[in-house]
Amino acid sequence: VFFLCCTPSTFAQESEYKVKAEFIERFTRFIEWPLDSQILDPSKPFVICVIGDNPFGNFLQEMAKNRKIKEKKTEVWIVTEFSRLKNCDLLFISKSEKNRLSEILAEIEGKPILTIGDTAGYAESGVLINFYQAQNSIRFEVNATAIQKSKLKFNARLLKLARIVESKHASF
Amino acid sequence: MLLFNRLSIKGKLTAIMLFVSMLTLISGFTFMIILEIQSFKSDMITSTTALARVIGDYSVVALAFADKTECQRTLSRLSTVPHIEFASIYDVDGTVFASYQRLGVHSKIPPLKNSEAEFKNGYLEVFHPIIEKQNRYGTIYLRASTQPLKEKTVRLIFTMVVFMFALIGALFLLTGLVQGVISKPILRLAEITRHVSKERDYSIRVQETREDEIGILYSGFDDMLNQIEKRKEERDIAEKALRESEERYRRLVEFSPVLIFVEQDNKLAYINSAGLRLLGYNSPEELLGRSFTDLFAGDYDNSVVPTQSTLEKKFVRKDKKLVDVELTFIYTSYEGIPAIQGVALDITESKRLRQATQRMERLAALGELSAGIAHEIRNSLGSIILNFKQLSTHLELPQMSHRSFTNIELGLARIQEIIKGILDFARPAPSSLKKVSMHKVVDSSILAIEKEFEQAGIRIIRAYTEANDNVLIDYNQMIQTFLNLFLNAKQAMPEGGDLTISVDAKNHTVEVGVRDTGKGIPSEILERIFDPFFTTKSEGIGLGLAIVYKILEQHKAQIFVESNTGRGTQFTIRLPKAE
Repeated sequence: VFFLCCTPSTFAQESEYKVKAEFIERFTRFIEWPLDSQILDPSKPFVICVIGDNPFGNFLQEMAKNRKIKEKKTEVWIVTEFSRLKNCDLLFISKSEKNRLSEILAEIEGKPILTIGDTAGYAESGVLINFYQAQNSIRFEVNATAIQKSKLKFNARLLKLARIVESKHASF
Repeated sequence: MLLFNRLSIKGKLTAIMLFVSMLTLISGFTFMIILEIQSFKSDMITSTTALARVIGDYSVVALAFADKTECQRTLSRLSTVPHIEFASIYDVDGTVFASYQRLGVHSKIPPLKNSEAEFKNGYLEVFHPIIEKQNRYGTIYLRASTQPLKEKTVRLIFTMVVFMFALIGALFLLTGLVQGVISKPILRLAEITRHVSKERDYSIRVQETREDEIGILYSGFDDMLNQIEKRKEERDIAEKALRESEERYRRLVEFSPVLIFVEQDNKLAYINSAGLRLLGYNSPEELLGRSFTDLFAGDYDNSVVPTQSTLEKKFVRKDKKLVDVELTFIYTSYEGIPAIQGVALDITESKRLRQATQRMERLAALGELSAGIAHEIRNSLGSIILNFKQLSTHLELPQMSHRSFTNIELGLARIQEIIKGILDFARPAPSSLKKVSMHKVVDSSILAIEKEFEQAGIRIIRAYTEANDNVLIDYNQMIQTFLNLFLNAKQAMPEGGDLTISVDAKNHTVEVGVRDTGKGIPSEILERIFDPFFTTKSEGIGLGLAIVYKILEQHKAQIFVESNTGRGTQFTIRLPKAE
């Protein structure tokens, strides 16, 4: 018996952030966390962190309530303090954090944390996956350089679907 | 099956081997083709399913992130797989997400099915779920044309059929070689058997040593021929001996002068040629099948036949004449069936001789006796007559006594005549033989009685042969003989009739026949008519035929008599011819 998700057939009809919350869960399916991380510790939940203004409303919590990620319970944290970032497995960086993006990225550098954003230029700045809007559908881009540096392993098929961008050393 | 039975061993072997081989080949090839087609199908299912899985895998992420463009691109790559005519991807809700059609193919998108691989309407339809890590993303549908499968199948069957025919051809050749090994020796045996039965030549032999069953057959056949030949030789010898023995006995029986017969089941089964001669028949067929007792004269009582006996019998010949036989027979078996075997000896002649001898003895005794008596009586009678005559001349007697005297005188004269006859018979006068023509003697005799016979209504018929009929006879005695016979004939025909007198000159004899058409002589007294003093007539003294017999005896002549009661009597006198 398969555990079938309730993937909506057409995302366009759904709320943008509901789709994005869904996509976030799906990314985890095609990305492997390193074996020496807490990901293998069944006592710890899979932690999805949102830093900055939460644009998801309740969508993330609803998604997390019903899903297991990496066969573990899923928790959603709204993070404000940098110190807590190191315990995240996945980090959504809100648009509001645009100005301190490099600080946040620096804080978690070298850690197996999947960074996701939905702000133009985030990918070029070093966020691993960044949503963008194309022809009424939600697409995503990835930073190939960051992925190479990251401890996370991306499924090639996922990468194939994404728009590939390189890092730009912009100073915010 | 009838056709098969008519085949030679060679043909049968070929037929059986070909039949078995073809059966094996056809069933094997059919089985192979079926397996191969199934394998083709299963291969096709496997490959198409694998393709579906690969496409599914490729489409997982695109499905996960609802990227139709990417899905479409993935499906369009199927253009490199020529037999895939149609493909579609359904999302997890069963809605068609993306689809692909080969150029020129127009088809409706089929309703979603869960998981299936099915050959249908010349296609293989495969539905395969798109799953990754227990997450279902949708379903892929592939429709593959079975054209390559059909082509492959046709190629396979064609190859198989060609191969099979090649094999059968090879088998046919091989069968020819193999059956030769078995049928040739058997055919050889058949050829020898044909030769033996056709030519009756048992000297032929197979003369071949082999280690196999045919070898046993060969040596057995030769042994059999040896035995047949040996037995044939033995049988030939035995048959020859038997034939010779049979021939000997057959000749012995066939040429025996005695009648030999076999009667079986009351029917004559065999009679030899002497028997045929005796009975006056020409071929055995006239007699075979008839009862032997039919040949007996008079009635024969079958119920009191002794088991082995010698009887005196009379047979009736074909020409109705009687033959006296002495019949000896035994009960035996002939060809395994109870039968009577018998021998009949012709005793006609010996019986006649015996009777003649007896008669002569009788006559001689009678002659002696009567001559003695007659002599004594004649002497006394002489003096009685002399004294009576003297007495009659000296006595004067009355008329009545005179007549008595005359009667006595007549009686005495009659007595004297009888005495003279007896003495003539007993001591006939020595005869004086002269050579005369027989028919002249007969004519002289006839002349004496002609008138008297005419008055009695008797016609005299002469039948003389114009040949030398000279005989050496005492003329007077012969005349007396004929007159006696004529007188007998006249007495046999009181109502008149024919008297036929024949003179027949043969090679060495002259026969005179005297035949009347009178009342005949009963057979029971026929033998005694020549006896002296035997008479059936009231006035005769019974010396007439006795004297005839005596005279003929002195002439070394023979007399025969045949008589049929009511039809007449024939006397035949046979005299030696004078040269």
